[in-house]
Amino acid sequence: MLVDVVLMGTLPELNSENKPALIFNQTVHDNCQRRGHFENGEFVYKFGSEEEKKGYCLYPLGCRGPQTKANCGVVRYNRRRSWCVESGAPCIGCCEADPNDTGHNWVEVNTPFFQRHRDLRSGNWVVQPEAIALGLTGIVAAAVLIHGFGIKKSGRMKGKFRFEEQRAWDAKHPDTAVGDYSADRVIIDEKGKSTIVSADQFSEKQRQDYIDVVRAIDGPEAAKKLEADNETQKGGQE
Amino acid sequence: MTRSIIDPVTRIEGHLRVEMEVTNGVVSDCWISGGCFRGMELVVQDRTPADAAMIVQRICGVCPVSHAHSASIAAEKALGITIPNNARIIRNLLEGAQFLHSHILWFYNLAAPDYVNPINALKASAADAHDLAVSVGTSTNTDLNALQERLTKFANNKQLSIFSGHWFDSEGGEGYQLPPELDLICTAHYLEALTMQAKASEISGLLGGKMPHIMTLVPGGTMFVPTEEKLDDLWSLVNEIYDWVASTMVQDTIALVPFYEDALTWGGGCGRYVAWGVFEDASFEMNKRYLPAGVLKDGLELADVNEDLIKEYTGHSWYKPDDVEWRNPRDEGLTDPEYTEYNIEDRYTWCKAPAYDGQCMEAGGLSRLLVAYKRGVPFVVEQIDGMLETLGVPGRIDVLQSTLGRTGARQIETLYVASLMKDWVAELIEALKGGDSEFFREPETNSGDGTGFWEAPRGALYHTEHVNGGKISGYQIIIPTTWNIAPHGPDGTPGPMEQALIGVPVGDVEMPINALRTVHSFDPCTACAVHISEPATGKHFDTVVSPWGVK
Repeated sequence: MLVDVVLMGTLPELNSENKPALIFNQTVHDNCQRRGHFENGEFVYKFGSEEEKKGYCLYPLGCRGPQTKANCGVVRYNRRRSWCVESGAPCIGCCEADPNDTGHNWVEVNTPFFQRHRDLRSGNWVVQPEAIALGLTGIVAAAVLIHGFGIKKSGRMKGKFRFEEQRAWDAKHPDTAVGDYSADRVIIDEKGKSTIVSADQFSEKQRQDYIDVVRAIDGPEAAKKLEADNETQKGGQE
Repeated sequence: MTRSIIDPVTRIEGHLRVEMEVTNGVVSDCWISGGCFRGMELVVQDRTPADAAMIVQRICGVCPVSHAHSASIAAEKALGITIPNNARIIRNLLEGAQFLHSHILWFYNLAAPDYVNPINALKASAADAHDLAVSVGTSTNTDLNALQERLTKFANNKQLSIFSGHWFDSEGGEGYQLPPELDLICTAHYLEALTMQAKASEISGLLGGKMPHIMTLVPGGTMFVPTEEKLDDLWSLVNEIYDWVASTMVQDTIALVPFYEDALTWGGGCGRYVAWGVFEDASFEMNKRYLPAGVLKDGLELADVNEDLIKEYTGHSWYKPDDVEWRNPRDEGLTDPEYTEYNIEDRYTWCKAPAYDGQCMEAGGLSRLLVAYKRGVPFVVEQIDGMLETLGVPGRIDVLQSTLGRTGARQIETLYVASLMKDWVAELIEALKGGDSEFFREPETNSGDGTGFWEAPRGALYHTEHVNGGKISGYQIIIPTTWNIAPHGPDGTPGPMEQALIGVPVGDVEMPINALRTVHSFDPCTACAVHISEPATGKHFDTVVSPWGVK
């Protein structure tokens, strides 16, 4: 910013909220050094744990990186020595502020800091996290928010990816499971219309979406094979 | 009979007004006003203790670690957690880094400009200055010739930048007494200190994610887990700061004293001290902390801390009139602000008046050192005795109870903390080598009451909270400067800093430099208020209530 003004002699570009775009146009999550572990589904579930030592992703401990727009992970603090996530602390979204609405501040929006919230916010959108796991239908949500269950499906991610139906941690540790697999889910379509579906309907839709993706990429043969596998799996469950 | 007013007091953290009645060149009465309301107690209501530890840090950008620490200790007491040994050491390192940052910044960049005149340094011979530095044993890392050239350029351009607006010409030019050579040395160290305080904060950043407002200190321990790379960086930073502190700070202090000896004779204050103790040892006992807890009554008589004796009075502060004269913050805490007007006969500050056993008390580095001295902490006893002997007043601990004594004693504490930091890194490495991998413990209950007795760099810090079903149902804080800048009590007794100012000689009513030295010796911190001063029209203030400033 100072380089812009003092050395380059230009004023910084501002975004729609009149904040400097350089700082506030990308999320903490976009540039997070632990992002790779998020993609791999490798998470820290307890402060100061073995997973923390490995530098895993802090999402289950409430990290607000996905919905906080700031460039902390790029600039880092105290002479680029470190930043919150590098030291083991989830982002608490402390730069969240709206000059026109003093009620919309980082404390009101983000407390309790170290828990995942039922709803996530971005601008005027309040979205159920489950909606975000939806690959093909949850476009509006997927463009801005991410859910730890799966991986966002956006323009940047080409190719097929199977969403986790159950988190690997939860399968291994049912007593400390983080996910709720029985609750109703909200699906938000491209136009922003939301529909409530049961958990079963939701996972059926997830499977169907995945088959659609495979059909589009690998052709009808592969999709058919997958459909057949699905049937067998279902048969086995019954 | 004249009024002398300093408003705002600069080179402090926060917003402070000092009004003095001057009779025959000496302060005869005094009123100190803290000009900003914080109300952090109200913000944390109904939130979790872990949230509170993050939120209350925002009280202050200089000592956030202490607030996080004190809030976490309160939560740990309330929820019955004893933190793991690794977390204890890492938290000590975090707190120590903040002390180093704060003390270096305060001595060189906030307090020293009351004694050091960089403009006068232009007259120095750099060669003589170098010889003088060698003879007083202080460090010479800066190229003094180059520094003098740089200062001359500033002065010739009439752009004094950071050195503008000080009272170098107070008392008709007699206010500043150092020879030009010593001014040059101390100006060099002023600039070095800017780098060193940033390095100290790098340690906080390394362990806490960022500074100010660290992220890893939570009720239950720490989120930070050291890796080999982090330990490597930590070790080198800790040593670099120690080397600079050990070769510079105490030596500079002793070199200054002969030129301001009169400042050892006034500014004593109430002569009673509180220290809640800081830097936990393995026993987790307040009285065994590296800087232990204790109360010094009249005559420096040592007693253990008794929470029931802490009470607050608000009769001269901007709070709703209260039927209860003295409130214990833990059992009867109340924050009910009501601004009336600035009236020294009635209410004149946002600061409450805390008292211990009915009497006002001084908090701060001097309090901690005196308690440590009385409790026989070897490093402190040796250093204080050594300093008094060097100054030619062996055994006269009362000499420290003065403006310059309070200012000088802090450098001993800085040296102590800098050397402890090295010990703690070694201790942490030993613990990790021994296979200890625990850093955090979950609470076993979600309700309880707890108090965090701790110390910020500026003195005794107290957070007390009630937790019900995981949420805070009551929270009260007494920050160190609340003790020091307390207004008059119910019987009209002035607060500690007010008492310290009474009796201070004022040779210049417009620029009462000795009063300013006394105020700075307490390192007041009234926390970040937004204040506006208008150079065109003189001094002007608004009470700003919006976080976005004045519309």
